[in-house]
Amino acid sequence: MTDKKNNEWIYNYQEFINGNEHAPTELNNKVYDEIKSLLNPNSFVVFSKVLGIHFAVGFLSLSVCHQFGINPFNTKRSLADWMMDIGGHHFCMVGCGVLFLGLSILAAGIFLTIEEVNALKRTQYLQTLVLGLISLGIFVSFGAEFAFGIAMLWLIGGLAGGVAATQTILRVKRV
Amino acid sequence: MKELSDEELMVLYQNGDESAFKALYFRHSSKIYAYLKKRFSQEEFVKDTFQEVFMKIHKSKHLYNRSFPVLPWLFTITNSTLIDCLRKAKTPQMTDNFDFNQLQAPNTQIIIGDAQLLTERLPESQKLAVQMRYIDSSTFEEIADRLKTSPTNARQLISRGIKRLKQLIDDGGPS
Repeated sequence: MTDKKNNEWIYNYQEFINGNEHAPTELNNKVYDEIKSLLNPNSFVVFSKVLGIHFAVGFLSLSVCHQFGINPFNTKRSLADWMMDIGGHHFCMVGCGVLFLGLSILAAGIFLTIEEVNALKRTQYLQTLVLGLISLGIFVSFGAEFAFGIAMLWLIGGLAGGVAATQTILRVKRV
Repeated sequence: MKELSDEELMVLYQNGDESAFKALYFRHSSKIYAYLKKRFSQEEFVKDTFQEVFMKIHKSKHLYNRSFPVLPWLFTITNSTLIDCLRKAKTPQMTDNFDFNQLQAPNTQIIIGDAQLLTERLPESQKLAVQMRYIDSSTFEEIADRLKTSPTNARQLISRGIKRLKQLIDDGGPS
């Protein structure tokens, strides 16, 4: 920067920091309300974004972990089998829930803004629960059969995975 | 929030804290408004630009580096938004409480006088080439003859001379 430009910048900056004229009240309110709405996004809008991402990521995750025997990619190996060997059926159900919802919310973290993650955090249990119930409904519509107790285990795993993923993306996104 | 520094508030705002934004807004919006008001005569234009500044601050808040002070960052955003808004607007009026319609045409004699003074600071061959070209209106061949060089070289000398003159003007003129 030349001295002339530097001096000009300093002059304008001094003028800026010494300025003191309040904007009209209606303009102040308008700007403040606009930013406020951006800082507090609607939870339904956030949920619909997460749901959209969950449809895509959840479907892809079926290739590595078959949920309730649903295997759209006809893959031979599944993390579900490994979890079944390690901890049995109950452990497998909880683990599958963690993976299925956790992965989706982690992926959503890439696309959501910090304000949207904050909104997700405020209703994390409700959002994850609804996400899990919708997923179970879809599995049933695709022919999955499971007992209530098993579904509850999966849902508990899903809740734990969803909440942990929400906390993780919040920590990552925060400055 | 009142006791927090601008930088601390900015970090909280980056993390989506509404009260931090509110504190920053009420601390500095009068500076931004005053700065814009001084430069534009049209009230609507000032209001629109003011809103744009805050939208840009919100959209760019993740780019703020906490190791730097907030005010120069706000000033830079205000200035860049101001330039963007001027480019978008068809006929904005710059002001400083100054009526540009009253502005008289510049005194070209003074400008020419300044340029002549500045040419004295050029190397001898460039000075002669520039003076012959722009004061005596000589052709490149005539200049080349006088300087005992080729017309191509004469063009280059003039080009370098003009560049140097521009640089001298940017650095503060003949004074």
